[in-house]
Amino acid sequence: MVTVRYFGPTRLLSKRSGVRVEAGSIVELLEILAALDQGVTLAALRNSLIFVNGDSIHNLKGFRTKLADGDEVQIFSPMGGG
Amino acid sequence: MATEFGGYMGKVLKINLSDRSVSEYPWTDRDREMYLGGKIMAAKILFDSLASGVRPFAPENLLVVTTGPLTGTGAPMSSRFNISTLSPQTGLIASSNCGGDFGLHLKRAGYDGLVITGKSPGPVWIEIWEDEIKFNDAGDLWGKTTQAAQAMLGGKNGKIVIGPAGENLVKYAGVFSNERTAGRAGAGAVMGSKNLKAVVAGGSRRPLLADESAARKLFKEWSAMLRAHPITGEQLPRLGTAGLVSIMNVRKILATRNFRHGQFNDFEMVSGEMLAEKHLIKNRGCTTCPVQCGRRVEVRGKNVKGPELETLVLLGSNIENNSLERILEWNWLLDELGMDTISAGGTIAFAMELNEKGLWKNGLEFGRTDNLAGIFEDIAYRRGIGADLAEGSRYLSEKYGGKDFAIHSKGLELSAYEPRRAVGQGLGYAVSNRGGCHLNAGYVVLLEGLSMSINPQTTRAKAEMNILFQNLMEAASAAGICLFSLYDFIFPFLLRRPNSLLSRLVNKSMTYLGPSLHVINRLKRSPLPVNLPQLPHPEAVRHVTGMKVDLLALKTIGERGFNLERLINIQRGLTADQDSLPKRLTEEPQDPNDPGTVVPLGKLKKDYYQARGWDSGGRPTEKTLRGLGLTGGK
Ligand code: SF4
Repeated sequence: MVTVRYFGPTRLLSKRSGVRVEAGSIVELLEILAALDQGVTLAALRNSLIFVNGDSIHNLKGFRTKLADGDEVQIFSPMGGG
Repeated sequence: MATEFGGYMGKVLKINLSDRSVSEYPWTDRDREMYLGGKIMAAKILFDSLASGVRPFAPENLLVVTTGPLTGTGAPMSSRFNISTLSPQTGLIASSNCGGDFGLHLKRAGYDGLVITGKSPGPVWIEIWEDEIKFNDAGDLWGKTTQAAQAMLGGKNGKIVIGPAGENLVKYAGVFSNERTAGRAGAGAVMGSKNLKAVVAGGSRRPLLADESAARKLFKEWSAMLRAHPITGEQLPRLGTAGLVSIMNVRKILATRNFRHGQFNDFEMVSGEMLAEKHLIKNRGCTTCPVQCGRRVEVRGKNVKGPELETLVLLGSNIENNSLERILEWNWLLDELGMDTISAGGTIAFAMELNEKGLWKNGLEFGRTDNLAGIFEDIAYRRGIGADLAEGSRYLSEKYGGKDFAIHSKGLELSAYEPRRAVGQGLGYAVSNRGGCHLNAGYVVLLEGLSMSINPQTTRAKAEMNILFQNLMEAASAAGICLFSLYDFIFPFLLRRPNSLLSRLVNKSMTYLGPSLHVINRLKRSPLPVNLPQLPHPEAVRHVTGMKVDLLALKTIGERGFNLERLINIQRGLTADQDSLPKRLTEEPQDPNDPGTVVPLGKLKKDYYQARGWDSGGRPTEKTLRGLGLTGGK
């Protein structure tokens, strides 16, 4: 099982803070999430900032990053203002 | 002194509280072209008027309240005004920007700015109705909270007031207008030192615009553009600035436990998402702003202003408090008492660590929140340990020790961003003219992990990025526009498609663009106008004032302002040593296993001084000053 946490506008759209699902990779995970939540489209997910256990997927294998049981995936939108 | 330019009222009012005299401060069209307005205009007035050796609480210190040419014209995000003075926290120039409607009403009264000097023998409030200026006894207002005082003053005019903290000279007391605050650097305490409780302004005058129809058309388009941008159109209205807490946590830049860490286990409990889900009643913001980034929340059955990001962090993760309810209450309480939530929170966190280390037994503990409301009141009234806390972190570190972990720069507590994982932001904090402020710092953290993902640890190009943003921010602020308008600088595709090849390429390549940015920073004019479609600021200034400015010209005005503030600070004794950060941030790695997770300040500062055209002591060279028209002394 992978734990997914939504943050920022995605969280408000999905109306939930997170979910636990089975997925072997980021690409697979995003498809599952898009099918699960009405407010969140696959395109929106693919255009999010995605972190696996605190590491940006940009520093891993991008969408091909493999996921293992117990991983936490955090999904953000780019932000500004403070 | 009337003006040929549109947007301005053409008059600056000088008020001496000591002898209750009123006169016009000389401000010419040449000054308007050179310094535009807002904080840069205020810096010029302070530069010309402050005698050396004047201390912040001396009657001779000035309180300069200024607007920009766009203030009150109907331009989006233009309900802004500025207060500058010598800061009791830093002893240097302080400028603080506020979104309350005082600036708008000051212009309706017929003035672009106020220069207040002297000291009233007793509590006073000033009423400005066009040409009629009245000094009123403020005996019954003295001691009242910021909202109570504003309610007593009544009417629909613009107001600035202080609370008990300002009256009692708490070093980080702010000035309040409606519910908005000129919070940072202690302008409220300077007002208190002058026995000035409030200024009320109003009238029926309106600025004339040089090209009214072109300006109106542009304002409409600009508002639409702001509404369509991912930051100003989506994130800020939906989550406010509070929305940043979560991404700061994952980027390890969320100030936690007096800046010991960059992550907080309970970050979600004090996040913007939690605020939106559990407490938000509605959005609220400054007049004439299509973004409305402020929040309304419920506290004890009352509908009050919600906290900004900075407050959530400084009174949340940084003191290891996970109760959002407490933060909402304290935010309201601190506003009522009239003090800056950032410096109040930063000072409390430092006192907690002093207590933990046995350097000052004060009863304050990380994670303990039950005693803090009482402590905030004690600060405002300088009771018990509140008397020491009212002086801020630098004073505490001089009295009790702990300089290495007193988290301030030049005496001003740092804001919410832990800079060891965003070293450009760290540089900015150190060289900022007003001390540890994230905005005067240049806000490079925006690129280092919030909006973009450039390498946050490299020193490459960070000096140049800082300079570019600092200069643009100076100019936007001087024009009278909210700094958040500059977020549109970031092309929407970088935010909407952060995983695209192009975005990743831009993120990767930006830190190699130092030399190009340096050329842009140095460029003062070009034969053909240079503008960026996503930054309509120069066009707005052109239509409103009639001045022939492009983006380069505005940037140069910003650079002039930043250097002028620097000159004031140098006159006040500033040396390069004070462009500093506490050792915790420069020598103690955030990750004990990664020695690179510090701010390499020596290298960054060297790059910065060179790129600014300053000498190795951090002083602008003669050539730099000449290029900016700042030679020739006062
Ligand atoms: S963006 Fe926020 S702070 Fe800026 S003018 Fe609008 S409401 Fe005020």
